[in-house]
Amino acid sequence: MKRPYLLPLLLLGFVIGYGTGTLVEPTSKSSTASRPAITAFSTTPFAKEEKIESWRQRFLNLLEEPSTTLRNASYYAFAQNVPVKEMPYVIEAIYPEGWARFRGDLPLALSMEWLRKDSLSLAYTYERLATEHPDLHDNFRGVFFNLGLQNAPGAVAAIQNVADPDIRSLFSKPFINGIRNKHTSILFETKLALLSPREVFYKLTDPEREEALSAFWANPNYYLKEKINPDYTFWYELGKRYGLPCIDRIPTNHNICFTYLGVIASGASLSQEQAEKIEKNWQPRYEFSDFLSNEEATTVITSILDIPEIRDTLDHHVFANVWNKGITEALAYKLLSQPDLSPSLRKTVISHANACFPPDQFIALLADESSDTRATGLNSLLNSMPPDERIQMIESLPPSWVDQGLLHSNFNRFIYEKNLKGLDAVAAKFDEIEKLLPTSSRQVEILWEIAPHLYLQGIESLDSEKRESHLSRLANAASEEELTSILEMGTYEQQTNVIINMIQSKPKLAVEILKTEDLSDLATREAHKMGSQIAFSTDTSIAEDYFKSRAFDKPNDQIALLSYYLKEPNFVFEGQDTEKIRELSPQNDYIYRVASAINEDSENIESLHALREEQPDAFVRAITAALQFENILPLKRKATQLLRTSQLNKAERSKIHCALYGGTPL
Amino acid sequence: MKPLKATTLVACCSFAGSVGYFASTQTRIEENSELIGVTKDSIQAVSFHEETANNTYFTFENPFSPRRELNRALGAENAAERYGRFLAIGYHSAQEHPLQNLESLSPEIWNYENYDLRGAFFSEWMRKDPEEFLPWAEAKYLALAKDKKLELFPTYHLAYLEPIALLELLPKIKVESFADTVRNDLLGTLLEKDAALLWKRRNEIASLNRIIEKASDRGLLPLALQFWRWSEWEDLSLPDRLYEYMAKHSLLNDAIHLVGYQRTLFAVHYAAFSPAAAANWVRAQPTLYDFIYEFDNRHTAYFRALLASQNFHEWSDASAWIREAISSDEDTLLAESVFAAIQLLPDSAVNIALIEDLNDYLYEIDNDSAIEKFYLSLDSNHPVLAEVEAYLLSNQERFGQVLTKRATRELPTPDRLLKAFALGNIDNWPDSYFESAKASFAQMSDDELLWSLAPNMLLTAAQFDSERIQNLVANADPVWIQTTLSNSGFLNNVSLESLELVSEMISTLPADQARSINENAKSVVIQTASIDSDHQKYIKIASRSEDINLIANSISLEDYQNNPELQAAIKAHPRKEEFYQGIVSSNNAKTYQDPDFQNAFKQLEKGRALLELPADDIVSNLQSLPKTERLDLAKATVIVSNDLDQHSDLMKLFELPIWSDDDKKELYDLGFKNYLNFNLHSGIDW
Repeated sequence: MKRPYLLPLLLLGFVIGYGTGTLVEPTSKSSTASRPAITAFSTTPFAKEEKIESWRQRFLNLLEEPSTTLRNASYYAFAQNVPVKEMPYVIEAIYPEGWARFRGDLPLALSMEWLRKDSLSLAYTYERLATEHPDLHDNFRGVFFNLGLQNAPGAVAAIQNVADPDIRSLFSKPFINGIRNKHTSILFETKLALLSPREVFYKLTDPEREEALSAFWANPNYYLKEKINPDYTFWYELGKRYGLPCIDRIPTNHNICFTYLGVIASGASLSQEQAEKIEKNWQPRYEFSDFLSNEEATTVITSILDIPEIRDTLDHHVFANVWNKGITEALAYKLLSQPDLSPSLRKTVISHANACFPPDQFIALLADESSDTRATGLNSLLNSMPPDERIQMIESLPPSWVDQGLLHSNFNRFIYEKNLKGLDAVAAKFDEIEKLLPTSSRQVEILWEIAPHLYLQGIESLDSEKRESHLSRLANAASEEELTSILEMGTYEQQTNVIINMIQSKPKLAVEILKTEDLSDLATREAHKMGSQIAFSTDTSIAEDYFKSRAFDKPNDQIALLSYYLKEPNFVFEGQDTEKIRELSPQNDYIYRVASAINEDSENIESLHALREEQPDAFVRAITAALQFENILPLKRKATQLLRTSQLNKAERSKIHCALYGGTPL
Repeated sequence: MKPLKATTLVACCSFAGSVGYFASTQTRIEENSELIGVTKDSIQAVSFHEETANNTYFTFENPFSPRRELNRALGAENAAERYGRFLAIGYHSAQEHPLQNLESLSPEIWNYENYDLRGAFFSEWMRKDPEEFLPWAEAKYLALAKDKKLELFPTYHLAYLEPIALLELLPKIKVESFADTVRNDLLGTLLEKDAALLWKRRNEIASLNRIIEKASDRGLLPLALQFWRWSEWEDLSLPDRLYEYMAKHSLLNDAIHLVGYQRTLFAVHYAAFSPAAAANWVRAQPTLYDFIYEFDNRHTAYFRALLASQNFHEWSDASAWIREAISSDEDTLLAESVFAAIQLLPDSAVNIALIEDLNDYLYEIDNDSAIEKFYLSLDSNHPVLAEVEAYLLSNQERFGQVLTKRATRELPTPDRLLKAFALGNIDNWPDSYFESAKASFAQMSDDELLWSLAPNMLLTAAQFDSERIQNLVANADPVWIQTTLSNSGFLNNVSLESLELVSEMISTLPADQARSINENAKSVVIQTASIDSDHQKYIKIASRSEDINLIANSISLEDYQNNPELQAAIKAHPRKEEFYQGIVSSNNAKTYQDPDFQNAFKQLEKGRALLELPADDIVSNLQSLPKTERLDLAKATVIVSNDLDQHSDLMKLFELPIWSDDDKKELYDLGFKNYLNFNLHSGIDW
């Protein structure tokens, strides 16, 4: 119904009321100075510059307020009173001081008022301003972030009306961040309004994802064409939420297997065509288990078992966690009773099934399995038990169930747990304890600490070569007092080698022993190793201490020193210690110069010839040792040159030839 | 209807009236009322208010009531008005009885979004009465920290609104975490608000390093630099952006104060912005510390200028800089500059690293004419010539002409010749190069040859003059022979044609060793069977299962059916069954007409069935077979296995005591090669 008389009546009422109000309390102390100014602005057609100048004056007056707080407050009051038409002039008038970053309140106040009244003119002016003044970009970021925090009315429309994509993004990104902080419920729709699909779907929050799924489902082709890239959860949830129709409706993409997983987890039953389509794009991923609850994991396993096309992927190792989550007693029974279950799938089931059964029942289950599968099952069972039960179980194993791999992993575990009883239990089940000895230095230390008898027993049965390497490991782990008894288990030759290997763990002690040794019988390789080990030692006085005690006329001492120099990469630059060692004897200095010549990055062999003239034997020995035990490219190239020069005699050439091209020293 | 209508009218009118009344009083209140709580500080504010415009302050009713004004502000629909009022309310509430007023403003003042109210109130309270504020603030800070709600504590506002008062308070703060937050916020705000104050009081706020870093992070680079200058260029590690800024604006007077690696960092940026100037600058420096690997393809222009700079080749760092230019030059735009610089280098400056880098670089350049020009311009004994020539020889289809040109001019030096020998592939050399190499070869004495020929050069040299090389080997010292012929490089350049030569050369070695070298030589030759369509010629040299399998795998059913000679060659081979199996295993046909293939297929099916079993069962199954069949089936099993899991099952099989050492080796080799071959061809990334 039309009521044309209502509006005039309302107006009349307003006028009367206003008049009354003014009459009742007429004692206005209004500032006469300001009123004409405002009137003047609205009526007189000032030139643009004059307007700006006038607003600028008012702005400068505002700045005179000494309290920052009151000044900030005044910005908001000021902004309220700027007529919308004047906004562009004000904005210009406050440049640049009003835009300084710590004065963010003024642009914010003006923006809020302006947006409320006319968001389009703001968009136009701000776009121009941002184009002309890149120095204001940070400020714009701050303003739009704050507008986002307030979800300021009109802001979305304003940003949408910015034509330049870079500037639109300058405004939209911080605005969306503000929205994200305070207004999560409208985050997705705001993003959708302001960003490209690719940006909208990037890093979705949980509530956003819900909306994103609906939006995507309405038009999957469009979004895929826009190359959206949401996380795996999105693709999985898509399949779970929309089920079977996904298979027909969602175009293939590189995350489609997550969607298929979702479809499968929803328990839907597939047609032949759908199964084939899944197979084509099926790529099991580790992340699968992240999305599945235990029940869903069971559903997934059961469903995949019924899809022959992808059934084999179930025993792929990436499915391990899906199995862990999904296995149930019923499922395990169902699978194990299938006669046509492949051996590998059978093993997979057994290796995950122990959690669903009481130990007795599980062991009964294992009795019929192959030894390999049985060991896998036993291992998983043992892994789930506390140490004492584990020990009991191992003790009660019938001989035919004993498996080296099984014992090995449990032996290691007992070492980490420092469980002597456990180690003894394993050892009692297995004659060849030497096959269980650990190799990592930490494990060696522990085993030596808690069960030295087992360690010694194992070493006794090792052949000579392996024994030496274990003695070395032990020597590194043992205390100095124990060292003698360990060394006594090796031959004299092995003892020296063990001590050389000990230079890194116990440099002082090792060097102390080696200092007095006659190394004439040592293999060149070991002499070389000794020098390198000393070079690697972090304690630089070790080298000095060692080399001081040696006479350098012995070949092996020369080789050790040479390899020390060659392994010490900085000796040419900052060789304070090497300098001291170099000064020990003229012979020593000679070896130093040979090492420098060997390392020199040049094909020039003049210096090598000069060194050979000085001491032919020591020279050839050094060159051949370096060729055999070091991999120095310049030296190889220089050696080929040396071979071709007639200064060297046949025997010398033969030795170098042999060291360069032959595998072993002669 | 009528009475009702009248009532409506009256109601409307009176509503509009009251709205009008409210509107007028509203204006009036704002016009009339004064700021409350006038203090020494706000006197000025009042006069300012009066002489400018009445619309620049929010005003309050007298007496001032924080709660009433807060309610009014909260009721404002316009957010701008709300914020402005919050600030003013906060300010005025702090003037007197702040604790009491805080009570009235609570709980709203603690709502997160009312930070303006909070900030104004606390900063003004702090300024007016720090003695009262501090204990309260410390207690509140700790309480909020405990509840993990520190974002409600307005330190940022304190620093922003009243930095000086906060600086006065700072030394009195006993709660260390509170003091840290204060310092941090002071740094953040003063950087933008009052850098001079920050510099003056920096010792109380942050280290110079941190100030410069923070300023750079915020993009306030001129300011960051200003701080560094004020510190008289203290030795600091500056942020990367600051080096960039100095480089962009060529601030060399600042850069001169950089030391060590920092100077290199500056050079990297400077070279990107001002290539020519940077080249001059770098030349004027002592060695730049650790400059290797810092430059990249943004620096092409810079390197062009540097390499061309006057007397560059005399510079002690020249070859290191050439190498850096090479490693930076992803798009190979520098080839000509690099070549020109190398050509000018004295021989002594050419080191092995440079030669190696140049070699890799040549393979990346597609500017053939630059390479040709370089090759022709090098002196015949220039240390890089052998390397360049070897590159041309291995790409002779592109460089045949230029090789010919140089070869007609001079004979290659022994160095160059040896390099070419190591390459092999002599059949493809341009004729004139071949002739000239041959002449150079003839000039070398036997003794020189003996000690110059590396194992991998021997067979190529023999293609020049097989009699001479054979004599050379026959007369050599046994140690030399042993070393050379047992070196794996010896067989690098072996071909079908040179197999016989190999046999002769190794005839003086112990029989076992000779046999093994012979077999290896054949294997190397057979490797080429997969890329050579003429399979037939390889058949008769194959005697090991791995070799047979390799050849057979490269024969397609079609090849076989259309080639009677191939069929005959296989038929004549003592291990023809293995050939058939190899052909069948690489073809996926489900049925075969040919009885030989049918048998092979059956055998492979047996192997496949075996593989389906658990490893233990594979082993026991094989053991139960008659001895004569075991090895055959084991081989068939190996041929059809091709993934790593199966491979580890097979290991168990190989370790069985039923095999002789030879059988075991044969199975291992077959398994390894088959696995390798299969996976190489199927493109599995491993």
